[in-house]
Amino acid sequence: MLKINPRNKKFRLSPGHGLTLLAVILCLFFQPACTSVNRDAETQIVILHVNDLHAKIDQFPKIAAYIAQQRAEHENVFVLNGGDNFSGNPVVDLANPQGEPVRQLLNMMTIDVLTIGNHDFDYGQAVLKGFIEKANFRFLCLNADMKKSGLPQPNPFVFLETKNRIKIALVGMVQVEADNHIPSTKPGGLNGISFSEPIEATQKYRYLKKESDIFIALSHLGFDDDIILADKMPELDLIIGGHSHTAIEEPVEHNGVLITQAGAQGAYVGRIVLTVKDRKIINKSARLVDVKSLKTGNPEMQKLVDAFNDNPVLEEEVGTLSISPQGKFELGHLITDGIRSVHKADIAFHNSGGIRSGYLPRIVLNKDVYTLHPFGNEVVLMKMSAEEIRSLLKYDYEKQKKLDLKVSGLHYTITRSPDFKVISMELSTPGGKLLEEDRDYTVALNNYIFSTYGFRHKDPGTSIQTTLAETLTQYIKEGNAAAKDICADIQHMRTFETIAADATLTEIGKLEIPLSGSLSPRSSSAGNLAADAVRVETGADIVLLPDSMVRAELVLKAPGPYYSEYTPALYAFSDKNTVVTAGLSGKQLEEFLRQRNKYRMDFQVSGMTYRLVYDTSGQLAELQVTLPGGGGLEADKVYKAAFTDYDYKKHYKLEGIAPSFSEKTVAQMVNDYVKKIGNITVALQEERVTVDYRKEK
Amino acid sequence: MRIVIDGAEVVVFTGARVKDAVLKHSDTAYKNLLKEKLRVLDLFGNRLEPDGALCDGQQLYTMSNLLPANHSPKENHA
Repeated sequence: MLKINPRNKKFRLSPGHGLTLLAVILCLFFQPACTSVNRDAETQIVILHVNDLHAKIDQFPKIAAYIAQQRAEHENVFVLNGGDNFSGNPVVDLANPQGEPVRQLLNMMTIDVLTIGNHDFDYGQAVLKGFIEKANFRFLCLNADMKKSGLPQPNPFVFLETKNRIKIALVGMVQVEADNHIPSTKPGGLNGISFSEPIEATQKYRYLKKESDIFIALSHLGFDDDIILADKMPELDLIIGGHSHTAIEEPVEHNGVLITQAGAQGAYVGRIVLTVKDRKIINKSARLVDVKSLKTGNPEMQKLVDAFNDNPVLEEEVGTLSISPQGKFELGHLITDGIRSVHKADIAFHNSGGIRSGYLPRIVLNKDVYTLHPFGNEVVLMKMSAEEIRSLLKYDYEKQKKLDLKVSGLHYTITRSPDFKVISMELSTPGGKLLEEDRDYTVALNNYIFSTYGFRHKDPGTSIQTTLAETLTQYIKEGNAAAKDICADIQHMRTFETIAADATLTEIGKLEIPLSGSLSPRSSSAGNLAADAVRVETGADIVLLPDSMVRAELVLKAPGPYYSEYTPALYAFSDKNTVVTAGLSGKQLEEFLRQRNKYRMDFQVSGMTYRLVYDTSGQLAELQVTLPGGGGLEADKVYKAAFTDYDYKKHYKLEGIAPSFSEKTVAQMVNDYVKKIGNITVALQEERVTVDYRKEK
Repeated sequence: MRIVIDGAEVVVFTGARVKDAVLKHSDTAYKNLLKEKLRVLDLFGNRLEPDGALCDGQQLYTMSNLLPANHSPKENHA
């Protein structure tokens, strides 16, 4: 006997109705079709779900193959995506158009429904519009009103049906921040879109329970909010989550609602099995399938993924700089100038440890930016008073025992005790105006500084969901578009350090000129002093001391005394490094100079001068050495050359004739030399190293 | 946002992720998280990926990856 359920309006028939007979007759002719729409029969429904894939396309072929296998093995399989498909892989982030690999690959994955996540707005509305319009699956988002934005309005809910017409209602919603009521994404992608509080908004769709057999929320709220949603809406049979990247390995049932989430980045596929009888769920189970354990991938998709990964996007040009920025200071200045300019902050900070390459070539490629900023760190904006900025800088200085934080929009001078305690600090604008004490400045820093530095701040800070790599890329592109030399100011010092004298210091000479290193690649008064000291103390013809030994930010003011304690402060490792003298041929010396100066000027010298010319890729193109009295190095002549023992023994394994190791450290040699000469004079300001850059491409 | 991690409260910026809270809590734990020597669990024992979003008041626990998956995070911090 044919069972017709009165709840199904399509099949609602009154007893004795003449159509009953017709239905029976039809069923006799089309028996297979009628048995397949027996909605009350025990039915197994398999729901596969992923969330927060974050552009990790390498996992997609395996996920797709698993979906295909499940679809082949089971009659009722639905595939759901919990949002946040974009952002997190340079191959996708830098694709043209942005996100295109993800868009194409998701369309091959036979997804049924996708809830929009906060990071799906990351690439802006044009990309999201293309994503929605070209998708072969449906989109959900009940708490976003996009009508004024030009984006297609996603569905608040959709219905899915099994082969035997068991009806599944799906609602989807996106997270919003408690303080600003917008999703965590770049605000520029949200123009014209208004958002409502998602849990409250979802409750307006309670009625869907009555219009369906199974009621599911495909949420992008995060696990904690999914618990709240389950509290408020026990009508839900299932919450399939995203956003918090929670890998729910053991199924969680809360208030009768099964809550699942499949981690992130395609590490897992969630697999839920619902057994339904008489259109009621009689059993539900959930587990995560580890994608690493899957053996096969969809070959067609794998080819596409390989092609996307082969994309030369990382070799593409971002823009051209007027110079090749070298070292932590120049790069730090460029980075902070970019952060300040792009995010319209008054002041920007960046930590030296976050600068992960030694230079940028003049023609900057995408890969150079990502090598410089490999961690995906993001920019955090906050309001800070001058006093709060001081607390940040004091923490930094006393922890690092050096001026580690690079800065834009601010100059600061720290006066410290010989044991690295901050005595006073002067903060001024680059124009020399002191910072106002009763004003809050907009300060941009990265999430690493925020999380690891101990400093006072009233403002809790807000991530603007933009990485440092994206920021620098935008800054270089905007600078090029406006024909602005964004490197014009990066070789000037912005941070200064002085040592306060006290009675415990030992005076060994007089300063007639200020003594400091140089930020720009050239010889410096402090570099010349140390190289001269080593030459006099060792009797070498030529001295090559690493430029990195001379601290650029420490300024010894003149006129004034020179204390012996200044020396280890002025020259890093000078109290540990000794000196090696060895006979080297002119050819060997030139080779050594070329090797060490390949990408940046690297030596402070005595007994010679030299000129370096770098090409547009940032590599050394020309080296000219001039000896006192004129003329260059003679290839076969042996010169007595001096280096630090570190350079000689460990760094480049120089093979010199009759090497001799000093007992004195570099610091002892400098102090002995200063005692001998008494006065540190203007002669030390001699220009011994010059660096030029070729302009043509 | 205030996050409780291993029983200690840390204050993180709006939009911070799991890794930011761990970093604020302990530099060593952060390094171990990046090296996959450590996992972060929520109050229910679910594992959280480092880039996972946070919400105000959330409670997190860290646990060595050497411990079995069914080890209760609270046993660690009893």
